[in-house]
Amino acid sequence: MDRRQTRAFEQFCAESGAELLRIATLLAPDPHTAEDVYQETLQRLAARWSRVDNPKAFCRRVMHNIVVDHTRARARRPELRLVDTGETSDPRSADPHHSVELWPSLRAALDSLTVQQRTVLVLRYFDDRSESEVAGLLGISVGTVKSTASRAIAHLRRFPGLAAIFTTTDSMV
Amino acid sequence: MLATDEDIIRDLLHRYTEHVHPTASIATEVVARQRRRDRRRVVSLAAAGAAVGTAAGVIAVVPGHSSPAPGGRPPEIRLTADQRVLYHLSSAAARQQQGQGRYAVMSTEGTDVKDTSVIDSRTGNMWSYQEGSHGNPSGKSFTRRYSPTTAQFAAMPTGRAALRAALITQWKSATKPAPDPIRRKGPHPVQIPVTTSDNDMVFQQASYTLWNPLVSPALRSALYKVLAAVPGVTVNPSARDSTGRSAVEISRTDNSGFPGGKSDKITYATYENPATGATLESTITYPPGSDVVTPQDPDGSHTVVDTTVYLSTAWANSVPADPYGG
Repeated sequence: MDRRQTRAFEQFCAESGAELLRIATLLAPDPHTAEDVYQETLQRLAARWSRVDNPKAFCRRVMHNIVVDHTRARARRPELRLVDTGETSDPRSADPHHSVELWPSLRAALDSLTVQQRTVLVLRYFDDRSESEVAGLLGISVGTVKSTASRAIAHLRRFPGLAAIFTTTDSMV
Repeated sequence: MLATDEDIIRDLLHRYTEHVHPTASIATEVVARQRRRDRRRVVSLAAAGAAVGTAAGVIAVVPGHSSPAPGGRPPEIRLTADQRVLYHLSSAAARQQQGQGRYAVMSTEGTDVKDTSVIDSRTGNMWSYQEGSHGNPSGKSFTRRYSPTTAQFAAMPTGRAALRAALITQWKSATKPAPDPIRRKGPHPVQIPVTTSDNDMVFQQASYTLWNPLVSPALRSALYKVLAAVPGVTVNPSARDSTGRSAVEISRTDNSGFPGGKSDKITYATYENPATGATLESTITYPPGSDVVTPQDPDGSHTVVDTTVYLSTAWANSVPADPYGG
């Protein structure tokens, strides 16, 4: 990287870093892994900065690939998950409509999804990507995106700690 | 009003992450790390030429390459002063005992950061706890990396030629670029080809290996012998590390640059304990104007020394707690 590229890279990180870390937080099983995924993504982007024409799309696809790698590695060595993944805070508890301990449930629900379901969910509903964009990023068909998103939502609706959120929504209005 | 399941999920995901913010210095740290990697992959023609010239002198120490001595005597092996120091270091390393315990607990100190790393000798998992990260003396962070396992190190050859070949293979494997899925979608850009000489790879890979406490005494001993035959290596037997400990300094300066950038003389050095062969410190020195930027030197106009001091290594059979209470 020369200085011009460095400035452009740093500007990209300043503008998109928070968004990328939030996506990593939603994709990864715990905050430490999210940090690792985020840093590794930026490192891979830096290595290819001059060749990447769409850094945002690159980062999203790379994050998905890294999470897949992490998941496979963890499946091979399940006994080595020594990092505490428990959430201690519940930012939503201040909301009068949501005084339940929601975040551990949401984290558990996300963890119970497949990596592809989780990524589709995050890209569609957090990153606000269209179905065709998600399909392009993940290298799958639009039909697969639709069915995957649908199954993921249905799974969350049935998840014990979240079911109440969906079923009580109407009474919140 | 949240009308649909999609709206509820969208709201949940956004609210769940609204408190997440990255550290401001992450881009600078990534760039600095990338520059180091770039430089390690690039070789200058000047360095390669110098290596070829020096190789003729080194070849005399390789059995079988010397001319047969008259009268059937074995070929005379002449070592330079630097090579003698490295051979002494090799002998010292060979006399050490392999650490006992599943986990190696290694304390290091960087420019601003204290680090305690735990390496699982069986799986290669490496957990690093840092204090003082991101320019904040009390800032704490945690990273996970991977190391070769004790078994993998033990499986490496200890013969000089075979180890040299293995180091080159490892270097190439470690630096192989990952598939770039985005590249398929756009036109292929023009790239400046990057080559690295075998000697660059051997020195870099050997020095990356030496710090690791999982390395066996036999392999450490062999690594010093391999380094003794790398052209361009300089040895200072009466050096001291930055904490004042007596050390053997092994260094090599190359004329590296990176694609699209200019060439610089970068010096890689490792400081070894003369009594045990253990690594005490490693440094990379970038000269002024080398385009290396840091938070303290955003213009890259000063000499930058990237230092890691290896303070201690202990062994344990259970995973120790975060030493910084993070």
